[in-house]
Amino acid sequence: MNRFADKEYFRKPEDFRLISSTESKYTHVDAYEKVTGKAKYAGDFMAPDMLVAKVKHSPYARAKILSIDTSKAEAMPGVKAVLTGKDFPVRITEDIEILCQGQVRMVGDPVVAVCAIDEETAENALDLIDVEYEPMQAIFDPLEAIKDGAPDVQGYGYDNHNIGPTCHQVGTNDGKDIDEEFAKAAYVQHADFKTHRIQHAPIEPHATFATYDPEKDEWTVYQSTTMSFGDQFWLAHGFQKDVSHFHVIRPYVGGAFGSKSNWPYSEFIACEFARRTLRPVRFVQTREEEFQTMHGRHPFLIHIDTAFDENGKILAKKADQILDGGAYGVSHSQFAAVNLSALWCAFPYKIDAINFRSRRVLTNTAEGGAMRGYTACQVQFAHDLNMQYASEAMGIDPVEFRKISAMEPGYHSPAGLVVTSCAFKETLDDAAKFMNWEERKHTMKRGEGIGFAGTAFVSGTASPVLDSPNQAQTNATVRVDLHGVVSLYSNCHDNGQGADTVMTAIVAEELGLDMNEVKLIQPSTFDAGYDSGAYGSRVTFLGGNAVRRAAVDAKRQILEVIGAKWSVEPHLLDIVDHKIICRDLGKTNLEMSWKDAVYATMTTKGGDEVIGIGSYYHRTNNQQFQGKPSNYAPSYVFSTGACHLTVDEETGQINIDEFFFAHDCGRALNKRAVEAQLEGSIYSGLGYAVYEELKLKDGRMLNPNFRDYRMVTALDMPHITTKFDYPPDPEGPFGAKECGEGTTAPIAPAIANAIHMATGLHITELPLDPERIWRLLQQQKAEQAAANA
Amino acid sequence: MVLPKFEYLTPATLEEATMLLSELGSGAKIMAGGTDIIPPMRDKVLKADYLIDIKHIPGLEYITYDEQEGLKIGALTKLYDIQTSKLVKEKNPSVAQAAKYVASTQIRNKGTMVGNICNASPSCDTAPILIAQNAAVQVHGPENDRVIPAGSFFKGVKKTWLEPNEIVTGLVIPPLGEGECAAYIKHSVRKAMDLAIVGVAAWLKMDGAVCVDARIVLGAVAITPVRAPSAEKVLIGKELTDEVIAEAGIAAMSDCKPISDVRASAEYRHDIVRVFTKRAVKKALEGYGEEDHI
Amino acid sequence: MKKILSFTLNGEPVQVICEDNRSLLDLIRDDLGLTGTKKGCEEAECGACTVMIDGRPVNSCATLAREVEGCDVVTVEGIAQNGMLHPIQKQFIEKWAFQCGYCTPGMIMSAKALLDKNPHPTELEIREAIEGNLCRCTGYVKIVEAIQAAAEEMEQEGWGENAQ
Repeated sequence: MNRFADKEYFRKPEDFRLISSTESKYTHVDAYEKVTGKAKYAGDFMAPDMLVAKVKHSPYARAKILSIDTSKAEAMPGVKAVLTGKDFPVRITEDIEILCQGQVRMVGDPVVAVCAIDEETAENALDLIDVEYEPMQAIFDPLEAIKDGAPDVQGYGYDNHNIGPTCHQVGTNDGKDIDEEFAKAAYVQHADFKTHRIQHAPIEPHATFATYDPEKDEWTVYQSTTMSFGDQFWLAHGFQKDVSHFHVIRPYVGGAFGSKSNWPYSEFIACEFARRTLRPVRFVQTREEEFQTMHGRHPFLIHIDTAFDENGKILAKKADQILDGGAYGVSHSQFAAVNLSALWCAFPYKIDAINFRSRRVLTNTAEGGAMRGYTACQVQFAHDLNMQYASEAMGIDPVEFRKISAMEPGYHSPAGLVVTSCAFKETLDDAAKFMNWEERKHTMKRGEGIGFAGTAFVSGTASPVLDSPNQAQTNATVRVDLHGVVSLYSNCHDNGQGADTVMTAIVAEELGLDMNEVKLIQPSTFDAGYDSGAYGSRVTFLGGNAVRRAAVDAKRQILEVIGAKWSVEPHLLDIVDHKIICRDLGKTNLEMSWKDAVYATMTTKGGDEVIGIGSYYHRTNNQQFQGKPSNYAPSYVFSTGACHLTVDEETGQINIDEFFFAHDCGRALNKRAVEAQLEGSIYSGLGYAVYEELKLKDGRMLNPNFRDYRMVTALDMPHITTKFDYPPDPEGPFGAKECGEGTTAPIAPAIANAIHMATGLHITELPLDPERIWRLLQQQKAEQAAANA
Repeated sequence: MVLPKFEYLTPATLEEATMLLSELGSGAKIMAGGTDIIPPMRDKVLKADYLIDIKHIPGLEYITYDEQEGLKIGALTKLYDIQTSKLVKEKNPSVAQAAKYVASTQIRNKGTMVGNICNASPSCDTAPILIAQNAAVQVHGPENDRVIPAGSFFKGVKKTWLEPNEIVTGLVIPPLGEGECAAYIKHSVRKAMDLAIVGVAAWLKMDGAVCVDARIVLGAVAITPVRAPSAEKVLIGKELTDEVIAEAGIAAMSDCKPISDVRASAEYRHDIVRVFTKRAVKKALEGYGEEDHI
Repeated sequence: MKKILSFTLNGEPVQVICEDNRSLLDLIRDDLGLTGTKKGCEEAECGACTVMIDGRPVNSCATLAREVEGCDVVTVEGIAQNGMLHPIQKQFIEKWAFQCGYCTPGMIMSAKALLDKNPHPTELEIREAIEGNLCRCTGYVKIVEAIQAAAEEMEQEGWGENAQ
């Protein structure tokens, strides 16, 4: 069954047993392995004859490579092979060299790789390699990079003034004219914002375990990935072979947050060494390598002009945004960054006249990329603060102000977005109620504040990263054997978010079985169908719909056979709790066990097993990359974050004592997992807002370690309350929508708005670490003193 | 990442350990918990050809209290044991608090207070309170044993006045006498796992409301933990009103030379010295209670 | 230098030839094949490598293998008893206290070290016990709940009374 499936066999809400259940029959499919240490992650794979690979990185932000002398390393006992740029002649994603050839573009660029009998030998060999560089003028500021005469960051000779992908999204509803809207506005606000650089930092670093079979010319690659078909595609491209040569296996993945949807040099290097040595090769990146080379959250410069009518309703908005893209990403792989960042400007409000431009600029720093809430955390931080300040300028309560323009079901944005289910106003109301806002807004003293922020996100991206028959699709297969045991073949990537569990639950729900009767086949590129990856909040919505369809396809086949036996329309049959039951009035006494029904079906079909197939994608006009109106996703989610905090005005330290999160994710398939995702989102957003910042000096990271890259500890978390019981989505699987990615976006603005209320500080930049707040308070004091003088 | 090659030695006596130090020269390093040795060695920031692990030397793990001499802590006594010791919490809670501020539960279950000061990091959490309380660092050498006042122990960043073949065997923290009180407080962004942006220890001797003696020690704002004589001068001989305490905070700013680094700017540290000196004095006066959760 | 190292691992005596510069983490994972103990940072900052040595939670990345001569080392593989998951493990499952699972073994070992010493911890004491275990997924809420619930379960069932 595909996205056009006839839904008459779908399980009805009144019959759900697993969906939304919190009873213990809803099991975590990887629980036992994860709590006992038996779960194997890519870096846990080993073999007795295994070799270890390591890489030497560039110490310069921009330099010519004059020479590389590997002779001493190659002569070292225990070293099995050495690779340099010339061993990887093919670039991937247009501008990335596996090992740099001729030039390095950022500190941390990989230059030479060695492979040896153990880690110690490999590391010692790296020390024996001499690389001679000629440093060149590097550029770290995107505004400098786009000036005439600025050095060419990459040195490929593209005539692009260091500007990579650009998205310009312009449009109006009802024939409006944006200039006229601005001209008739009662209030126009101009605002500028700036955000900082952070990184995913999953606790599991990227790891590869690769083996090679020369007879088949085939690699088996255990990869910490959330996009195994992407790894397969780019490995094939890098080695100039067909994808059939690469069996990419996703083992357990120790967190990703966007970092494992790209193709680290380590996997190419491990594969090439495996080919050259015919021995298994392990490559586990160090924490410092992770920080230096992962594609973290883009720093942004954002300018916003907004026009409001006299009631505070948004008439029109313009935004101009510059993303610091780092040293790579001129190709379509980074179109999403500009496209999405333009898209977020249209959210979560009804804005009938828009003009949004996003440009991604190259600098000699680590590449920016997708990170949990791809560009939404930056953009929605700025755009929500913009709303907060406008509400004050217009003298309207901030919650009411947001509700005035809030998106509603049925709204069509000039950006092309079609809003279906939407409980944004309800989330605002719930947050205000929880915070007892109406009463407390009048009673709070200086130093104490409550902040609200409203944001939205996509649920199920249509954007394909690679070519597939339909946009960003998922394929799933459900096979029922003669004993009625069900196997689910699905490549929906689980990186910890619970995809394996929810997909198993979906099949069990549709087939009326217990979860442990559905066997999930540990996925790989050869063992199950295509899935575009765990990115763009697509797994539950698109993957879940595909898996559901595969289960329902199998169900339909069985019900058709039994229906024929009983002379009942098959869609009047159902499978509940291991039994086929009949809902045809007068025949409700008919019943057959699941096992008997499966057996009967196979007998009837001449012995064929029941195989259900399912696929799903979101169809849009695919014009989003050109800035044309396009309905990016099949549905959208809406959130309000709210917090109460106090500010220590002497140190600038904040203390958040309460965080409330209301999220419209449609129907929660797994309530505990949704709650956990929201808690994790607050953690992640709090880290972004206050604690985490990758600091650079001349392109060099000053804190590529967990000592000074401050990740929030258990002691730093506020008390959290969540709410997510809003109406189901018409198209989501069982009514579900996104949770856990876009939900990171409202955290930083909610905190900023609360600090603003507590202190009156006009916040425009992240992070809100104690020193920044202290500095702003010092300024405020000086300004007040000057005003009084 | 692999640790560079070195030889691991486990002397059974102090004599053996000092002999090894003398024989092996500057390539040898003493380790106890090793938590400040192993990670920097892996990062090639710290070099050693020999690691002399003193954990097998008997008699170096103890916490005792003597009415005359005060609190005695052995070189192998772990920070966690100091932090959770009923005796320490009762007799000198600021020492337990300082121990608790160090890194994480795991580090404190391996690392020692003696190791923490021997590492001589400018942001060391336990040094300021030891200096403020005039603690004695007990040292064993090949020729003789000696005592170095904590205030004269630190020479520079990661450098102490220990001779190359000397080993610290323990700490003695004088008892808090009549009218004496002490506190250590730390400013960091996170509540755990963070190095101090500023740490301030205060020791006060009060006669009623009047301060008759004071020692204020600042951490993370100079190449070693430093006394704040100007602040002490403001306090001594005065009734400790809010105004006097605030003035001491301002005075402390002139007693330090903070640098800007990845954790904070010099400017910020400077002002936090003011705030935290004030707060440390107040905390010392107020004392520790249940709510401190030491 | 290669020497023979003897210690107890998860209740069983172990003798292994080991270099002086081997970390306990690498020994456990690469030489002994117990990969439940995770490598996250190798700088004693993330806690994924937490094991118990003589009852104390420590970072095995900041421990030399040779330091555990004669010691009792317990890893996540060694805490189930008599064919039963440890109550902490059970409650981590029950409370949905993990997502990616990579910090989980270290988190469980920190929790075990806490509950062995302090069977009735407050929420703050639980948070302090796991302050050195970074989790990038959960926000710690459900981890704290699981440890609280495990403490209750251990008391009710008298868990561990027959342990060595």
